[in-house]
Amino acid sequence: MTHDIVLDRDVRDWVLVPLTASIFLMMLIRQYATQVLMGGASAAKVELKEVREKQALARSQLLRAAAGFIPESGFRQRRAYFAAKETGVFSQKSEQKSAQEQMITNPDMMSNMMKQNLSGIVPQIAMGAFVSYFFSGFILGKIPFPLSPSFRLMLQRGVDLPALDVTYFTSLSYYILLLFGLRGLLTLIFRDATIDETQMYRQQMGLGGGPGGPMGAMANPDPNKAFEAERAALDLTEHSWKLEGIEVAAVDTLRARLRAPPRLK
Amino acid sequence: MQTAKERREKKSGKPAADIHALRNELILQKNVAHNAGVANFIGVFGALVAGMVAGLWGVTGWIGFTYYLAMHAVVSTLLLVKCGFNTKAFFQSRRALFIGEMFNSTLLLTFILFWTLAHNYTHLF
Repeated sequence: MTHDIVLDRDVRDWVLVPLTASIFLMMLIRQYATQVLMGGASAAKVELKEVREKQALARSQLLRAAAGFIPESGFRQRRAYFAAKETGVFSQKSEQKSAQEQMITNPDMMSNMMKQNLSGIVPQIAMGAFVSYFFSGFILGKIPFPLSPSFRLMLQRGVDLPALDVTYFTSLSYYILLLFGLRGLLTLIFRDATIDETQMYRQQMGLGGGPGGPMGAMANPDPNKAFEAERAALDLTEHSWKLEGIEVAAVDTLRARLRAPPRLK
Repeated sequence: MQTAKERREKKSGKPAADIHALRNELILQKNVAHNAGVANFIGVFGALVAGMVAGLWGVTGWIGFTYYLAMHAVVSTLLLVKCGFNTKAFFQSRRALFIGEMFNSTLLLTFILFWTLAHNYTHLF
């Protein structure tokens, strides 16, 4: 279709490979830096009362989910422990402040958020500036599949040649492609502990319009409301015994298994 | 001869529990998450290798995505064989796992990146 642009081999050796390697190394360093910075903070002191209340909420959720596996009397006892009028756990006033107060009075939270931003977004911006300063203004490579012209703005930032084939990209857009593509490679190296920045953005945008949402170590926005909701849900749960006749089934299973005598290894 | 279920019902007079339905409810979340992580690992690795192969062979155009689909089919088949076609015991949802992952953005982007990289390195310069 169009003429293939012949690119200098030096461009490949001195730009493509070093750029890829340096972005990959930056992501590695960011991963380790986040672990080091955040690892210290997660050992922060947590209030006993707060932990107790969160655990009570978690337990009652488990109770609601697995109510069918315990006998009815057991379920009623547990429910009374949580939801009784005077003595139930959820009838006590929660002793925590709301999230707003916590944010002000707890200096750890602010530093947490700052560390999160620092280790997440700032290196990206810094690398972006570095890339666009050093490797600006020339074509790095070509996307192997054809694209519509509307991708021109995304792929050829900084270069303004309408006659150039859309599939050629410049360094800045290659940087962004690398950022997204190397995420997969990082999940190969760090299985579960990959810092996924899209999750961070989602978390910050979703939880609260204020200065960022809680980091996960803090309580619900309003613990009293959470208690109320949990108590109402508990009152609604019905107990349906799921293990009806299970003892006969157990006998059958055992008989079937014992027909073949166990092999001694 | 009564079936087992009838025997159970006869004993207590209430409808017997469905053992096989119960088996689906007793699932450890942690293990299912681990399995999903393993499937993701295999997927990313396959996308990487498929991208490199497509790039080294000099495939251009939309045909190259057949490499990705072929890789996905192979990986899914191998996973199915590995878990003995009993996806319910190991993963959360059956077909959604494989069909949903076909256009997973991480896998696609890894494939595209390594395809571009390999193709540019070997064929463009």
